[in-house]
Amino acid sequence: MRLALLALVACKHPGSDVVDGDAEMRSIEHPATVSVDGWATLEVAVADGDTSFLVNASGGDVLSLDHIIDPNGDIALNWEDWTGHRTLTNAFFPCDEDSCVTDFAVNWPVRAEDGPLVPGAWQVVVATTDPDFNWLSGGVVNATTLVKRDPDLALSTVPVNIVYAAGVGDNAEVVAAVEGAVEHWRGIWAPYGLTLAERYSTSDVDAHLAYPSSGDDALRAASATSEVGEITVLIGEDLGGATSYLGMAGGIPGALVEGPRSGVVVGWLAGSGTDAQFTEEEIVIMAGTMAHEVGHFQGLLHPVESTYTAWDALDDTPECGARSGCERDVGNNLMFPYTVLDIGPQEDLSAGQVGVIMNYVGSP
Amino acid sequence: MIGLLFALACHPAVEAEPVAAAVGEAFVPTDVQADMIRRLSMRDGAQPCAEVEAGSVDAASDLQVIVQRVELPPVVPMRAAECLIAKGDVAEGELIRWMSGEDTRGLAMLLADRIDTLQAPLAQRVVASGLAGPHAEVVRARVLKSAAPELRALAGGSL
Ligand SMILES: [Zn+2]
Repeated sequence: MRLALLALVACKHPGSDVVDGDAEMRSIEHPATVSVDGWATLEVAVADGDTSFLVNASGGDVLSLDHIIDPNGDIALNWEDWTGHRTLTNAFFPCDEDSCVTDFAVNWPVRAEDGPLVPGAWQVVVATTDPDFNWLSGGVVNATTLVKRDPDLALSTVPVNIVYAAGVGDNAEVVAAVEGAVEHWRGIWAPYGLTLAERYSTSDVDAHLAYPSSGDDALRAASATSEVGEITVLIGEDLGGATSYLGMAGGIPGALVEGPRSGVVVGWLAGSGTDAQFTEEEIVIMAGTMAHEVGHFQGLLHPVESTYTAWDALDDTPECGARSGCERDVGNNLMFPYTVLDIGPQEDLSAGQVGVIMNYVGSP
Repeated sequence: MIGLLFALACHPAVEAEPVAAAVGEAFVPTDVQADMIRRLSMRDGAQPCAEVEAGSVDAASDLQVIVQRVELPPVVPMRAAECLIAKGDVAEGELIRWMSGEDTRGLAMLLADRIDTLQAPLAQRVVASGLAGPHAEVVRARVLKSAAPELRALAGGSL
């Protein structure tokens, strides 16, 4: 991955003369940091005008975000405040029922109300543990922090590298479907000041993709073809040996430097159905999948989880508690966890969700 | 897990009653089927098949209806087919339809990727139908990755 995107060019929005300013991004390479008593502390120097930072950390132990300290010495974000049924970031949660991760990313601020970013020395404290959450000392944490300076947080041009796994780029029908989906995705974003700046690449990674994990080489290889700051979307045939997933994000939020979970994976076979041929409706659903998974990567949770018992941390997405009410109140949201056809397009974003996307460092 | 795979591999294919596909008629799912369809419609997750099937008194039939009649979201019939294969509860005629139907290329790919979960004689007949059908190319490429030498041989690979 090359460090070529540090000065982002001004980008013009289609259909308007509005230019979203001269957003800039710079990279901080942290020295290898040794964990003491289970904590590794990363220093992030924030200058006047900086608007957000994204810490991309990796190591040999199970890693997660413990807390963030602002330049005044106050705790700005603490995992202990987020143990209930509302989730702000998955950076706190390194393990699911199957496995744990040894890498993570955290973007700060997350929501509009978490900002603005105060200039000075910030500290990001990383927890190093074993899978049973016993603190481990002595482990080394490697990290790169990307800092964004964005004078206009109402407009963003998001660079995305769409990477075809081995052979997929040779399948003309799949390529046409992906390109059609990307055009629809562009339309999903446009009302919210988000402009998609995509390019296409190919990779020789196996088209039978794995779920994103710290041990995955496919996303590492695909993200190596991306510029620093570019979101990688890897298109394969299927995920995890099954057609049960349309797509999956490598993190909420995701890392923007080369790494094993640095991107989004999409399986085309599940998206084309039993005949493996794309209809217009299926292309629209694929567009929704891409925008939904990239939304996760930019830091968005489902407004309500599939169990209807857990919610995101945004005040403007309703906290519904059952299927019918959730489909009525928030079913049209892009981040709704189910594809539901009879309620109309699922392409809405709330102002709070747009705020999260705009704060993400990968949305300059 | 190995035990489970063995159990699946040795589960005889049940000759289920074929589901009548009323071609041309709008499909109206039962309440149970509608619930299963929603459970199969997660954007980026998958409920275990057991949870999908929990509310059905005849899950195999309901899943078979979903495979045959539901087109959108496209992942729904594909996940239903996966659950059916995992149950080992698909009639041979239906498996052969998936392998060789003109409009079932996705099912043929899905089934060919899981061909080792079928018992050997059935798997050979299903592979043979796939290799003789319109999706021979994608079936052959997948069967060549089978763990079963006799299936690879059918596809032109080495024993
Ligand atoms: Zn999701």
